Amino acid sequence: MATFSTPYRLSALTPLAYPAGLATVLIGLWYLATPSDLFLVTLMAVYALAALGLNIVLGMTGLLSVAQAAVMAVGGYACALLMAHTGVPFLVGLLAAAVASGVLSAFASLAAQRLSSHYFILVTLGLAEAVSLTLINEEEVTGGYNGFAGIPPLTIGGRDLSSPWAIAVVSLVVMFTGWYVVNAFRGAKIGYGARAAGADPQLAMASGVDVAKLRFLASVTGGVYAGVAGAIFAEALQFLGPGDFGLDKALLFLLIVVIGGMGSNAGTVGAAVLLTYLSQGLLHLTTVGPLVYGLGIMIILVVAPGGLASLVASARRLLRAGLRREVRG
Amino acid sequence: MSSLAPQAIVSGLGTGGVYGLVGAGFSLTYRTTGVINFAQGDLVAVGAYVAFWAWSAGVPLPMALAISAVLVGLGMGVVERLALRPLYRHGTVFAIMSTIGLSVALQTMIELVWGPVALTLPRLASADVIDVAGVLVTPNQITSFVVGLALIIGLVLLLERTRVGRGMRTVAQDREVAALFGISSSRLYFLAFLLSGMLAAVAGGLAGPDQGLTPTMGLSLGIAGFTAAVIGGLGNPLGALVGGMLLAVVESLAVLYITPNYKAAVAYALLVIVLLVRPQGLFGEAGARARTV
Repeated sequence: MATFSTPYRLSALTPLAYPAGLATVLIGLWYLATPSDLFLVTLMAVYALAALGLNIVLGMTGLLSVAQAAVMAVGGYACALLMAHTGVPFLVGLLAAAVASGVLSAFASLAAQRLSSHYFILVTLGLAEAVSLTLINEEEVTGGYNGFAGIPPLTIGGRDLSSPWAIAVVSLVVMFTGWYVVNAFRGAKIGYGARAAGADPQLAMASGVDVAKLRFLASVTGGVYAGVAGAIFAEALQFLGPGDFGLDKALLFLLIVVIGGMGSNAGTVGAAVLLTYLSQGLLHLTTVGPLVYGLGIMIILVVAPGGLASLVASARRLLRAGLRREVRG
Repeated sequence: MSSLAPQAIVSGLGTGGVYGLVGAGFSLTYRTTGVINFAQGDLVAVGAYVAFWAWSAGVPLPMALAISAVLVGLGMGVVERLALRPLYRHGTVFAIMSTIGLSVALQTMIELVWGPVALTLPRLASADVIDVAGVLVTPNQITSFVVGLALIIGLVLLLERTRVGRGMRTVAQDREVAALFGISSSRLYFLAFLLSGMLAAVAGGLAGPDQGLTPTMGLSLGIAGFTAAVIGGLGNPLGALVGGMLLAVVESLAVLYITPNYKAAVAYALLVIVLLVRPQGLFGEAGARARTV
């Protein structure tokens, strides 16, 4: 199998960069943002989190999944239904979302374990449609097509966090934490193993990497990320419907990962911001939008298959070469 | 009716022929290039619409289907050249993503050109029910099945009996070794996509009358075709036909005995069961290939 993990790697961010980045974004929002901007930012953070999870599965271990949106739906519904019916606090609902989504991902991974990695996409396709059909048909539980609206507002420790501003802060904090964790994981021994499994499974196995185990772990971790994203999404919208988690959303996550540059977490976050913005504008405002979107995907893939990460890397190389010339001249 | 099973099987014939054609196209490109073409269903839709366009311009229906097959096949070939070929060397995931983009673009293009309202394409043969020994069948179902069978047999003959077909099978097995023997894989990749586009267009012409032409008609057909291909064993066109018939029969039985709500789930359930129990499909010989990492 071909190499999935890209050679383009932005230099690793120091741990301090995460709180610094978070603080910058928050200060910017405080001064600049209107409530609708805050909702868009929340959406960007949520999608970035789900895409970071997918980046573990696709970018590192090289498995192509189209179930990420469905896994996110299961997390969102688990959190919302549990909170609405039993009145548990949000953090318990969040935990339930993480567990439900992790278990579902584990199931997909186990089902695909005996198969070649090419078949993983088929298993996830089946899973995604099974989830979406269940959401539509089990109306008594999920509200069917009409969706589920009775989600209790977000509170943590008795503090009301349901304003757009508070939800944006919560989603950003969670997203930056998730980003830090996955980057730490990436540089650890287990991360090297996962990337080896993605780049060349046979060679990785021959080098003593337990490919099956790492694929399983990556799937579960990716699922947990999606579940957490789903729970925050439920709180941000105060509403869940099957239309929010269709195949098109799964494809959006895939595109975020590919356009960001597979395996690059910074690229994934950048592409999540860009594509969330574009998909909100392009896809909903005009009829020509999706055409541009579809053709745009193909053109970007052909022109810059390494994604944003490769563009940044080559820009930096050019800049460095330019500087060197100046010093010499 | 005393027994529904024979009726379900006969009704499955026509739909099975359509699923089989879509599946054979999937199979051909997947086996030859390793790329899962997510736009296969949308090619079916485009095929139906192009046939409709030719037919409403006054061309007789069988001719319209042929024109549609040629145009869609060539179109897919061109897309392969422009948007897939530069991506193979980065890994199949990139080419698969590109077909996803193509799928979105094709759906929108149909909507822009022909509008979102369903159009009706006439049937190749009449839909008047004939009673054959207690089983009801329409000439159109028989025609769909025969067209599907004929094209798939043609594809099998092409793969088994001709130089080009041998080349395709060689490239599918090992691209580098094929190159050492002077077989140009890029020409055969082009051909695989061209042929799969043609098969999809014909399937669209056959499925159009019963489904109604809508921009999103390709989604369910694409998934059904893919399931058919996997059931029959990816890479085996005749298997795709049998898989398509099996899927059509199971679908109609599920609607009868379980619930119509989950009709779409039947294809997925069958897909997952086959993948778990017999990943090489019913007639696949490449069991080892399906199970390797």
